[in-house]
Order: sequence, then C-alpha cells, then structure tokens
Amino acid sequence: MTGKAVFLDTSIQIAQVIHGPETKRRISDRISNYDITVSSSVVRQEFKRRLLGEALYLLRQLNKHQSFARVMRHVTDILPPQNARKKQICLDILLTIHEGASDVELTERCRRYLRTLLTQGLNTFDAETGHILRGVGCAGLTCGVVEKSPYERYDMGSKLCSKAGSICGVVQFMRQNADALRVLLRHLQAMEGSEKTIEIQRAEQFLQNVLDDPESASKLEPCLKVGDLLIALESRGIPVFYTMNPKESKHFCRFLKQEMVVRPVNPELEDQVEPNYTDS
Amino acid sequence: MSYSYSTDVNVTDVEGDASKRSQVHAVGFAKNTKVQEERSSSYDLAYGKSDPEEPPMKLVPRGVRGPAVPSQSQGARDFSRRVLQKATESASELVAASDPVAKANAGFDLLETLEALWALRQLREPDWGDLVNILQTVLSATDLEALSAAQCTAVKRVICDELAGVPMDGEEMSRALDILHSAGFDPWVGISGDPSGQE
Repeated sequence: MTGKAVFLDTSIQIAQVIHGPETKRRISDRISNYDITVSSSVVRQEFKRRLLGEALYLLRQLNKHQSFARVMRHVTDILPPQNARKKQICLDILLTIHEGASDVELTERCRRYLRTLLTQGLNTFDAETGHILRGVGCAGLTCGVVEKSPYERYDMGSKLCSKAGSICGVVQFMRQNADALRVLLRHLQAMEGSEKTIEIQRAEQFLQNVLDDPESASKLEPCLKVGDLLIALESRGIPVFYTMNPKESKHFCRFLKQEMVVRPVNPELEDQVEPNYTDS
Repeated sequence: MSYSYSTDVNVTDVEGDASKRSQVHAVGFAKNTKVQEERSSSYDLAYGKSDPEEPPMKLVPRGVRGPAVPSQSQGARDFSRRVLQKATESASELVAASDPVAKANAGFDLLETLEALWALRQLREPDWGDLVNILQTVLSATDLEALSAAQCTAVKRVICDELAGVPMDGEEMSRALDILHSAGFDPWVGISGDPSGQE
C-alpha cells in the first residue's frame, strides 16, 4: 500500500470517540488529508486502560449510588480538581439531550451507554483505525474487555506488562531494536536538563536498563511508566504523528524526524503543525 | 429414533484453543421417541421438544451469565411485535419523506415509537435496550430536518435488521454502530463533550 500515512496517538483515538462534535469534525478533516491511518498495540492498550477504565469506574459509581445526579456530584466532589477537569467521558450531554428525564431514567440510560462503550469500544477503535502496528507486541493488541455480567462485572485484563507472560513482546522488541535504542538514549542524554520532563527522565532510565539487560523490559512495566516512549518507537517510519499531548511527543518526533500535528483541546483552535526535522 | 439437543447448551470459548472453541456441551440428549414418552406417566422430558414457534436461539459462551430477560407472555410478545412493526413503518416514512418538514414529522413519529420500545426494554436482551437508547439519543441530538438520505436509510436498516431481527448480542450491536457511524451519525454523542478548563 502506498500513500501518505498518519499515526494516531491515544489522545486522538479517545477524542474520536468521546470529545465534542467540533473536535471530532476537526480530527476527521485532518485525517482525511492522509491515505493511511495507523495506530499501534500500545495505543490500543492505553485506549482500553484510560477510556474504558473510566467507563468502568463510572458504571461502578452508578451501580453504587443508583443515581445519575449523585454520581455527577460525586465525581466533582471526590476526584481532584485537575482529574475531574480531565475526565474524558462527558455525562452532562445526556442531561441536555434527554431534557426532562427523571434521575432514574438518566441513570439507566447512562448505565446502558457505558456498557455499550465497554463492550464495543475496542471494536470502534479497530474499525476506525486503518492499520494497527504490532510494534512492541503489547498484550493489549489481543486482550479485550470480557463481560462477566452485564452492567455489573467486567474483566479488563491486567495493566501490568510483567503479568502478561508470553503474550507481551516488549523484550523481543527491545532486543531487535537495540541499535536504535542506543541512538535514542544518546539523544535523550544530550537534552538540556530543563527540557527533560519526568516522563523523559523515566524513558532515559528505562532505555539504560533495557540496554544493559533486555530481559528486564517487561518487569519495568513500560506500558504504564513509559507509554509515550513505546508509542514513539512503534510509530517509527510513519511520517506524521497526530496527538493532543505534545509534551513528550515533541522530543520523540524530533528524534524520529516526524512531522508532529497537535490538536488543541479547545475545539475553536486550529491544529498546530510542527515541521519535521529531516533537514536539521 | 430421533434425538434433540437440550435447549440448555453451552459453548466453551477457550482463548487460544481453537479445537475447544466450538465444543458444544449438551447437558444431555433427550430422546423424543413415542416409546420413551409412553414408558411412564410420571416420566417427563427434561427439556421441551423443538418448537417451530420459538424464536431463534443463540448459544451463549460459558462463563457469561445470560442476560436477565424475563419470560414474556404471548400478549407482551404480540405487543412488542406491533410496536416494532410501527417503528419499521415510521422508519420507512422517514426514508420516503421528500422535504424537511415531512422528514421531521416522520422523525418525531419515529421518536415516539422508540419511546414505546424503550418502555419494553426490560422484556428484551441488554443489547436490544442499549441500542434503543443509542438510537433515541442519536436522533434526539440531531436536527431531524437535516437528516440526509443515507442517514434515513441507516436508521431504517438499524431498526429493520437489528432491532426487529434475531435476538441481539454484541455482533448485532457492533453492526448497528457501524451502520450509524458510516452514515455520519455519532453513536457516542450521549457521552461526548470537550473537557473543560484545559488548554
């Protein structure tokens, strides 16, 4: 297959499902400029862990409180302000659409929506992504959400790479890409200290550890701790990286000579295109 | 001599073990011969014989507790069928509507019928009620006058092929979401919104 490809980061994949209509339209317009859309195993795993994890959290709260209004209050009161603002699933819209509905009805509609997201979310992810790269061979590529009892019990699988056993391919990936990892480590080490975020520092430490001992890769829980690094490595070779979270990605995009396109959270703003660094 | 499977069957779905994937564990074979039934007046078959009136049955993977669907009376089934028939007709009118006002009126009729289907949700499997919820939410969030021909057709397909089709599970739901999405609807509109206070 030939054509211009774009890599969709987790933030974009989540936004395509549950962000507002204007954001969705802008993302759709952006993607239409490319012939091929690509994502990866770690992105799929993050999509499940973050978005579907939040759906499960809200469903459990609804089951516990049996009240849509109480859960709305609970989320605002209990979650730290920063976390509540960043909450991805927006329940307010149900109130608007089903204006006049009782709390009992809204509770049930919400539970049904969340169940649909839990059981169909990954199907939507797969259907809307042209190609999913195996990349590090994250267990998230094959593990879905298992419904044990509708609206009640769901098995999301382990979040830990160390518990994925032979399904996780991170050790093999690190072995096969040792040379590239060495170059990346040197790039990160050469960065100014002030530029290094905590995640970049973690990535540096992780690379150092796995280059010394590749077998330790899965024990270091890379999907949880250095997800941005793994996604960057998986996106290698794709010329454009589309994200809503440029903080760490910009450093990796520079290294990988990718063009980075940033979708701001504010839907009124245009995408920001950071040039690639092929010539630098 | 004829045998029939019991209706209580499980399919073992063992991940990564294709040989066992479709292994059917019948709880037992029930012998439906006349001889057997005449053997003793106190002897009864463990399970009912195949009934051509029964709706198609789906096998449920073992380990998944079946949806709590109360058995329906004949009256409830008839009523449910009539409401579904009405929904199908409303959807056809939506497809046939030639101007925005006619389209909106057909859409409002359909929303009323969907409300009647919503009232029947406890009689049906979870995915059926979930899809009624999504369809109501999607249509309520849309300007009915602006529905495209493709969207009207998609709504009709979802109602005729999925809601009024065989008992629903994840497969039908997945197809329904795909039909809606392909026609330009946003199935997730009910739980979508931009995070506030960020940038």
